[in-house]
Amino acid sequence: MKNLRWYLLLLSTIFIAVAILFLQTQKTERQLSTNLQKIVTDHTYFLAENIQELLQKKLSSLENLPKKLKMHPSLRRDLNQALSLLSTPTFPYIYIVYKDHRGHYRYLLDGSKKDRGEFNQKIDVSPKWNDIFQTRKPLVISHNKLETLWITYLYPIIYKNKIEAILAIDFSSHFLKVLHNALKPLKYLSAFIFAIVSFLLIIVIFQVYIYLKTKKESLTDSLTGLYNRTFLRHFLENHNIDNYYVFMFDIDHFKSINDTYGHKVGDHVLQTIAHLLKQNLRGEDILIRYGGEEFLGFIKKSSPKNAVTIAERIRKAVENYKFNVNEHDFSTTLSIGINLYPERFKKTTNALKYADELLYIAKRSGRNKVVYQKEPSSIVQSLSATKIKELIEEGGIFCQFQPIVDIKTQKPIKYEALVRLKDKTNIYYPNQFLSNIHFTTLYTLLTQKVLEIVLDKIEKTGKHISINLSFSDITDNKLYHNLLTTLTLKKELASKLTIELLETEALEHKELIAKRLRELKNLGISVAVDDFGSGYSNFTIFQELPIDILKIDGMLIKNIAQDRISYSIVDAITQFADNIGIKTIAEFVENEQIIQILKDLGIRYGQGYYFSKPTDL
Amino acid sequence: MIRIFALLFTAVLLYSEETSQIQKEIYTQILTSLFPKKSVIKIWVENPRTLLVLNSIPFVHIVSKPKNADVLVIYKNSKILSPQNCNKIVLCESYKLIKKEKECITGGFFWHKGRPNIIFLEKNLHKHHLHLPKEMEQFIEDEL
Repeated sequence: MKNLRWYLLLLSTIFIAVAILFLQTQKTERQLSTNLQKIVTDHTYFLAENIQELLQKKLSSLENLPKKLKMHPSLRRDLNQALSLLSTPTFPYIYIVYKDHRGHYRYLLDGSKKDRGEFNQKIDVSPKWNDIFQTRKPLVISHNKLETLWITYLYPIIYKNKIEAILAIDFSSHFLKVLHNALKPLKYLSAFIFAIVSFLLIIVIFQVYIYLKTKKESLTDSLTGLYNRTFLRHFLENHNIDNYYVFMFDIDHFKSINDTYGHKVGDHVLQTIAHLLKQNLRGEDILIRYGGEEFLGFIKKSSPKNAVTIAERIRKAVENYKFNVNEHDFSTTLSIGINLYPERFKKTTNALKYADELLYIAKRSGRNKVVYQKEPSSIVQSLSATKIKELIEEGGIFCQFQPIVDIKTQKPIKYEALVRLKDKTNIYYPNQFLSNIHFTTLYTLLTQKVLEIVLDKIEKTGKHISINLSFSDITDNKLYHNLLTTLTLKKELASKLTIELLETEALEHKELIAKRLRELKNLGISVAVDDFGSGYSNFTIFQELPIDILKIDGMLIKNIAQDRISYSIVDAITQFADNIGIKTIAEFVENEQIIQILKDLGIRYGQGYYFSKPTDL
Repeated sequence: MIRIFALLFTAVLLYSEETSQIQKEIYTQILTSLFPKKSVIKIWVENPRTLLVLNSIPFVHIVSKPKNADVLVIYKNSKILSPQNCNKIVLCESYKLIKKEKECITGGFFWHKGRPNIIFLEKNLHKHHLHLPKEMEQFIEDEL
């Protein structure tokens, strides 16, 4: 592009130079014409002097010239003949006129070989002729509108200070044509160069246009008309995103729309939402189609409050929009994550990732939401996959253990293992690394390492320990068979191990999971369902999987003293657990008041800061 | 591209027809001076080139027979000047012919030494009860 700009600049300079040359040629022609006119008129002056001398000689005096000539037709004839000797194609008309009492110019003599005027015939001339009576000096009149005449040279014939007559010599435009013809090659040359350079310039401009058009197309998503990821790369290279708020948008349940209505409707939804986004943002804001149904927005900074208002406006606009397919209305929603403080991140990719994490939170917490960090200090920077891998390989993985306490006896009955990563200076918590490696082999590696640590700890301390596993951990063949083999070999460990199933994923392959859990249970392990009451919580899990323990979601317990609904949910869950004969554990037990409520509800076990923070065991 | 060529072609035509444009303007001035109140002036024209010019004037209607015309515009054919036609307003495009047929011709417009020249004969203007506006009076000749 830079080269193209230089090329364009060079060509423009040449174009300007040639244009100046072209205009200069025109100017030269005008100057030549003026100079030539001066030469011609200077020469004509002497000719006019001679004619005046001739008249004086023939008429003895110039007094009453019109009267004298009227009275002597033969003299007129002779003088006309004499004048006609001077007539040439260059100045074809040589004649003498006088001005009558009405101001009309009339012929006295005419030496013209053609178009000869008769004595006393009126000739209509330009009013400029009258100027000669003021100046009393020779006068040159240019004819711009007349085709055949170039200039007329007027010479006053004066006798005793009175203009008796005017000698007029008309110069043919033929003379000027000769001049034009002489300059023609030069004019043609400059015009030719001008045309060539203009043509080249047009071609270059056209090429630039094509280039810019192609570039724009390569930077634009053809479906939505928004910028694409190639543009994002250029944008991040050339702009400081600290000047923007980073918005991450994702259409909720877009896969269902595609599956239900087909890809054509899906495309229409994408186009419409892109349009709604554009409509609700300013021209200076940047919108990028980041992924399938994910959009990225860089919104020029104003105030965080304003950014949230914009996001809410967009969310509502999408929520209220009615799509119509085959006379059937449907609507969709948008989840939005906003990174209000991108300047807090060392790398731009981390700032984007953080917006994505906030979007993920919006998705997890029910969708159709705007999620943003309220304070800059609340930003928790996540680790990159490379860093996580490095820490695992360097032995930076370790566990802390939080006791699960019998509320009645206030004594720990077991401990929940909580994974941590550390480097030389910092300790990193699961919310900083788990989401980044979820569904990757690194996640499996991490789980494997935690299992090893936990089994080792059980072996060394003899304590009962819980470990968090997701459904995909159970379905992972390598992980499952390693666990099964280890526990088969060391059966004494199995009875002191509880697997806490995380309900952050939908329960797929339930038969396989149930089968594997039963196999593990046969070895003596316990199975708990973690965070029940949030995420994908579903009572049917107790029908499908062999569950021994139910851990009630911490957020419900945290609010149980203030929120009647939380209380009712916990109450219902507890009764349900009692009815089917499984134990309940309350998480996030933080104060005495909660303990009392839990006791009243008949919940036997608790875990939380009230008892102990996670520590080494 | 076709438009550009059309424009250039028109420009060239306009340039070459500058003389015709002057001629048209002068005839318009003459005819409106002679007939200030007439909305359509019927004219018979001898010279085909003048016919083209006059035909481009909106209020002029060209007729094919002198007897149907309000004005005759002759060029060199004096035979057309029958006594009957002499009762009409006759304009002429030749000074010599104007002078020769000064009893019949009302006036004329002709090119002389590359300049447009206009003449009205006072006697014939009176004959047709014509009064020229002030700016045209300078072209009235009492005799030739």
